[in-house]
Amino acid sequence: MKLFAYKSLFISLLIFILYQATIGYTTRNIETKIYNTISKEKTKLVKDKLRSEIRAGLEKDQILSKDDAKLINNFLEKITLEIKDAK
Amino acid sequence: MRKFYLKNKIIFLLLLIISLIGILTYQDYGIGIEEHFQRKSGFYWLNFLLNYTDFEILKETSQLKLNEIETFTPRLFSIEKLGFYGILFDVPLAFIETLFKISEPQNYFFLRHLTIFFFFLISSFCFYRIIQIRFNNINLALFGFIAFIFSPRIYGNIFFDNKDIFFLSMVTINMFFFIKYLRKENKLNLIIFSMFCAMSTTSRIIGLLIPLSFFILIFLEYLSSKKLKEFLIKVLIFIFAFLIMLIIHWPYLWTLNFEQFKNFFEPFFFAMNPTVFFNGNFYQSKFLPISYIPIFIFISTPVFILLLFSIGFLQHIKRVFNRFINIKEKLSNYDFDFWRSKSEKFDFFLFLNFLLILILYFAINLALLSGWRHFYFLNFFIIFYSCYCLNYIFLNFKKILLKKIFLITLIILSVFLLYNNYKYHPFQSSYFNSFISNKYKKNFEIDTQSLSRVHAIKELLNEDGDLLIGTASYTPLEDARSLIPKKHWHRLNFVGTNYERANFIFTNFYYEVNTKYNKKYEIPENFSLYKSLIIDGTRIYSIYKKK
Repeated sequence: MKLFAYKSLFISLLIFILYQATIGYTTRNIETKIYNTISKEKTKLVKDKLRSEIRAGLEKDQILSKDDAKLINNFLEKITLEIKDAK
Repeated sequence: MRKFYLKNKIIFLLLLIISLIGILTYQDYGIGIEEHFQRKSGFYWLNFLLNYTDFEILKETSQLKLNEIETFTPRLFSIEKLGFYGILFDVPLAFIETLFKISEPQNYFFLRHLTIFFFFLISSFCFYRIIQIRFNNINLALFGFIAFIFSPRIYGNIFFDNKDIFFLSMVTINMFFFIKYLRKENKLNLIIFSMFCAMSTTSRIIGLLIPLSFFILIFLEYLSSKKLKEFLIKVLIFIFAFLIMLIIHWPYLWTLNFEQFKNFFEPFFFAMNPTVFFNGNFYQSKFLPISYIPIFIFISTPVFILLLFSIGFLQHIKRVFNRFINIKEKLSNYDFDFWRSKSEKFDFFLFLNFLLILILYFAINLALLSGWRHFYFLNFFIIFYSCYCLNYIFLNFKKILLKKIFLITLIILSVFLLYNNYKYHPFQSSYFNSFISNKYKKNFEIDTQSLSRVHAIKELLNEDGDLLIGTASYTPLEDARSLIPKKHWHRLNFVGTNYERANFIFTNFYYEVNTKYNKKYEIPENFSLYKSLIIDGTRIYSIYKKK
């Protein structure tokens, strides 16, 4: 009984170490990378960049080339039609 | 008694010398980042306790003090939100401040500094006694005592850090009462030990690991001895004394309702999640690499202590493992499986504590910042295992010449340790060891406790006229006034990050944002470097002046 208790404790400890050294370590690494990549400052930076690009676009005479404008127009028309049909 | 004093005269001489050094130098240290909050916490709970009494004058004075703190430092967190901090240090100090009507900020903060210093000295003496009792070697105990105090990061904090150093001291005293209990296992010693366990728990919740280790220890003892009645008596006495003490001295518990008790541990995980600069990268405090604490310990603990600790700890693991593989279902000549003597039992208890701390650190994603100061209590284990290693070496060195050479080396290294403290004074809390180059030091936060702000303001007071001081770091610079004589206050104007109004800008390079993207702390071009304090290649702070 006593040996069983000791062995169980020892094996639990080994499993913990093994888990932390493999799966635990990898998940924590990934988690750290994800959360630090989408930190507040970085999100703010992307938002600011978007805003400045939109502002720069507004200052131009024309944002899109004629071909692009035509292409987007056709695309939007097709999407609108499909949405209407779905009703 | 006389014999004890004669035998220990060197330690009393050392205590006297260190006390003198402390008394002569405590005013050189600045004010720690947490001190204003701790003081507020003290007055909050003092008020709370006084409400149960009829001491009207004390109540009034204490309430006035609390109001004054709210006005003077309005940005501090509310205690209702973070009420779980223990009261053992802060409430007595608040009481003394109220009773003796200490109104000069310098006086009450210096009083706090001296108190934590002497409290730490008491715990250092306990550490000395632990080593002396455990290894029966006064020279080793003296080495342990010196290493325990003069590990630079620890020494640098003992004059102002009444949270982390207080907890380190409490853990040490707790262990002292454990070894006392082991020497004489009676009910009184068990009750005293359990009461100190309660005090450690309220000082920092991680202190709960000590009673947990104790339960594991006596359970293992029961598995060996099969004395169920003895085991149950110990458990009951311990739990009873522990809970009584916990309830008596932790008014936070009195304020909790059933719902809050159900989620008891939740508030302890409250974290602001600021950005932490570590190893050249910015991280969110809640998502730091797992190497954060190990690397910080590795680069800011003297190399020879690290080496001794590593050998000592590995040696002890080996011993525990050997005991484990030799366990038999029926005991032969010995009573217990994991230890053969009281000394070994004490070692095993420390091992359990250390193991639980490691498990907790690796299993739970703790929000960390400020280097390893929240883990300064590990200094107890680091120095203990260093002594363990030295004891092992002395016991196994056969040749006296080798012993002498080793002893001389150790003395030289201890002298270097003292010299490092002298060199870094009063910024020992920013110490880095020789593993790390001066260039690489810039990859880590240094003055995380904003200790340098008082030093910098004193420097600026040498200038004439009114001072408009901006701050280019995450530092409440205005709080430094608490250690500046009131006669200078009218000259000090703090403008924060409104640099247009500033004629000086202070920075200790400690930021809560990623400065690669957030430019709020960028020094404007019309400012030039006025002064930089660099110690041993470690950049502590800089002041910029308007051109």
